[in-house]
Amino acid sequence: MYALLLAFRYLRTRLIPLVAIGAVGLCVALVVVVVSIMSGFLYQMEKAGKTLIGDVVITNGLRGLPDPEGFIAELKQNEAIAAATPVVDTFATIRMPYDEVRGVQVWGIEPDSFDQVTGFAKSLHWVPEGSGTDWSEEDFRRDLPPELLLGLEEEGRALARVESDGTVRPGICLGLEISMGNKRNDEGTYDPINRWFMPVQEPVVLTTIPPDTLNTTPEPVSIAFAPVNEFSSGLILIDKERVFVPLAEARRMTNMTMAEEVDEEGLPTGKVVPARSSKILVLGDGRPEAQVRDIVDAVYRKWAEREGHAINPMIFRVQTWRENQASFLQPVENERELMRTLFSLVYLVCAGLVLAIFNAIVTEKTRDIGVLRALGATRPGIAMIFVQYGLVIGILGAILGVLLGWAVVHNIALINQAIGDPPMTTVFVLGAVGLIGLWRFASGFHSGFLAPRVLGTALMLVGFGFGVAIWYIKANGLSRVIWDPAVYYFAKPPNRMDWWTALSTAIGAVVFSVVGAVFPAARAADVDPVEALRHD
Amino acid sequence: MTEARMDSTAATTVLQAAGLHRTYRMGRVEVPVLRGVDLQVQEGEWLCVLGSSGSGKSTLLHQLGDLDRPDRGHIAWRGRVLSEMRRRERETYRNRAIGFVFQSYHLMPELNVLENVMVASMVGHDPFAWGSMRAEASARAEELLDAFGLGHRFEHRPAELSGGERQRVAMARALVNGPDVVLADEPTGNLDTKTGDGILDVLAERHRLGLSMVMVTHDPAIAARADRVVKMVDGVVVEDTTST
Repeated sequence: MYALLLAFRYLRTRLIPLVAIGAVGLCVALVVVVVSIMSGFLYQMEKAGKTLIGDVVITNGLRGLPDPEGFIAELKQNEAIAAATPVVDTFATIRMPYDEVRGVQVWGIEPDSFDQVTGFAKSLHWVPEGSGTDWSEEDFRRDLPPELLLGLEEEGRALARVESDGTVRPGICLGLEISMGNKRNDEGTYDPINRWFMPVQEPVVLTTIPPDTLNTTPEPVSIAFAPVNEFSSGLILIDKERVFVPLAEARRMTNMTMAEEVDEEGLPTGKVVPARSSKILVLGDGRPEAQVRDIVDAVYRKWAEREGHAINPMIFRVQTWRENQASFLQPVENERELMRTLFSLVYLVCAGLVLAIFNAIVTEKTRDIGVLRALGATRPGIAMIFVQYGLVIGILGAILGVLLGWAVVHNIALINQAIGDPPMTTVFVLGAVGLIGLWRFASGFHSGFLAPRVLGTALMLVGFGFGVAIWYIKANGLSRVIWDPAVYYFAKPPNRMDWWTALSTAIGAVVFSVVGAVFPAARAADVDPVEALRHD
Repeated sequence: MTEARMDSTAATTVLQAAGLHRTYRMGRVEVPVLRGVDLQVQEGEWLCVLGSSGSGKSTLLHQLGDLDRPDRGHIAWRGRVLSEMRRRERETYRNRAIGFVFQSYHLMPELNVLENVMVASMVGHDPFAWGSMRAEASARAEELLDAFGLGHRFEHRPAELSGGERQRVAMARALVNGPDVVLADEPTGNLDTKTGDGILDVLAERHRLGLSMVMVTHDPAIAARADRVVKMVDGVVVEDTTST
C-alpha cells in the first residue's frame, strides 16, 4: 500500500514526473497522429478504389474478354454474385466545348449494371440535394432549379440525352476535375467559374485509335457526346482523367463490337465474333472478396471451356479490387507500416525518459529508501514503488497522448489551416508572450538573478520572433495552406482516428514506461539501508 | 538454530549481542568499527551507548536494528538469532520489534504528519490486509500524535514543522507498531537544549510505561538519564554502568 501511496505522492509533489508524463504523452500522440493520418489516407483511397470497381475484376489485356454479357448471365446464376457489369477501358483525346484538347481514360459502361456494382449514380455531381455528393453551405448547386438538376441526374444515370426532336444522343459523364470550368474551393467542393458548368448543349468529342487486334492499320475513331453530367469519385486522380460513355459507343471506338469472323483472305467464315469488353466488374453478396474471386475464376474457366474461348494464362486475370489496385494502395500501406515501425522507436524514448528520470529520483530518494528499509520494507516492496510509479506515469502519459492525438486528428483541418494561414490573433498572443518575456527579463535584471533573464530572453525570442515572422507572412501574402484542398488528392485531410493504433501505442507506452522503471527500481531495492540513511 | 540460539539468561532479555565484529573497507584500507561487542538489553530498560564520534556506537545501533550485519558474532531478539531468521522474519522484526528514531528525523517530505506515522503500519501489511487494518492503524497514529502534542498537525507536511515537532513525529512513527525496543540515534542531536529536553521527557515517559530503549549519544548529560550506560571506545565496550 505504501508503494502506491508514495508513487502517487511523488507524482503530485514533483515537476519532473509531470515532464515525463508530458513526454510520454507527446510520444504517443506523435504515433497516433502520424499513423491515423496515414490510415485515414489509405482508407479514403481504398474507399474510392472500391467504389469504382466493385469486389472483383476480370481482365484480359487489350484484347479484352469475349461475350461478357453471356458470361455475366452465367455468373449471376451463382448465389455468391450480387451484380456484374462489362467495362470497355481505353484512352482517348477529348475536345472540350471551349476548344481544349487533352487526354482522358474512357470507360464504356452499361449504366444500370455499373451502378449496381459501383454505386456510380451516387457519384454524380449535378443531382438534386440528397441524392448524390454532399453539398457545402454555399454550394453553387443551391442556385440551380431542382427540375434542371433532376433532368441532369436522369441523363447522367442513362448516359444519354433525348433531344426535343426525340433523337437520343450518347451522353458522356466527366470527372469533375476535367472541365476547366470547375474550381475546387477551400472547402474541397466545387464552384463553377463564371457560373459556367459542364453539362451544356455543345458536344464533346472523343477520338481514339482502336487497338490493333487484326493486324490491320488502325484508323482513328471520333464520336461526339452530349455532356450530361459530371462525377466525383472522391479521388482527384480519377476525377482528373476518367470519363464514362455508353458501352456500345466505347465498343465502337475500340473495335470490340460483335462482328462477322473473316478468314486470312478477308472472306466471311460464317461465324460471329461476339462483342468484347476490357474487363468485367463483379460485386459479391457480402462474403470475403477472395472467396468471390475464386468463385468467379472457377465459373469463368468452366464457361470459357464450354463456349470454346481460349484463356491466355499470361494475361488473363481475376483479381480482388485490392489486388487490382495494389500498385496504387500497396505503397501507401507500406509507407504506413514503415511510419508505424519507425515511430515505434518512441517506445524506446519512453523507456529512456522514464529510466533517466527515475534514476535521478532514486538518487534523490535514497534516504527515504533507507528509512523504509529501517521500517521493515522488503526489497520487492521498495522496487514496487518505482515500478508502480512508472506504471502510473505510463498510464497517464498514454491517456494524455491518446487524447492529444485524438484532438489533433479530429481537428486536423483546422490545425492545417492555422499552420498554413495563422489568424491575426496568433500575432497578438505571441506579442503578449514576448512582453511577458520582457517583463521577466527586466525583473531578473533588477533582482540580479540570471534565471529570469534567461527565461525572459527565451520568451522574447519566441514571442517577438514568431510574431514578427507570422505578421510578415500575412502582410506579404506568403501564407500557404499545407494540405490545400484545391490541389490535393482528397478534399479534406483524413481525420479518422485509428483506434487500434491508439490502443496498441498506449499499451506499448505503458509497457515501456514500466520497463524504463525496472532498472532504477532494482537499483533502489539494492540500496544499502545504512548508506541510504547517511545519504544527504 | 539450537546451537546458535543465544543464551537468554533471563526471559526479560529483549536484545542480546555477542562478540560483534564489523569492519568497513575504505578503498584498500580496512577500518574495524566493532571489535567484539557484547551487550544485553533487558525488557523495560533504558540503555545509553555513550561514545565519541567514530567509537562505533551508531554501527552497533544499525547492527541491533538489522540494518547491517556483523562480520562475526550474533544478535538475538528474545533468544532468536537474527542471522538464522528468514528474510521475511527479519523484515517483520524491523517492522514490529524495533522502532528507529534518527538524529535527522528522516520524515518523508511528500507525506503529511499522519501519513508519516502510518507508513510504518502500511509497510507491515500487504495492500489486501491494509483495508481492514487502516482504521486501527490510523487511530493508533492519531493517539500517539495527540499524546505528543501534535493533534492539530495531522495534515501538515514535515517542512511546516519545527525540529522538535519533527522529532516527535519520528518518535510516533517508531512507536506506532508497538515495538519491543526503540533504537534512538542521537535523537536530540539536531535540537536546542530545551527542545531536546522535551524530546527526552517524552521518551522518558514512554520508558516509564515499560518501553525498552537503546539510545546512542555523545552527551554524558543525556546518558545520565538512562538506567544503564555503556561506554564505547574504538569499537569495544569499555565501561558498563548501571544507575543506582
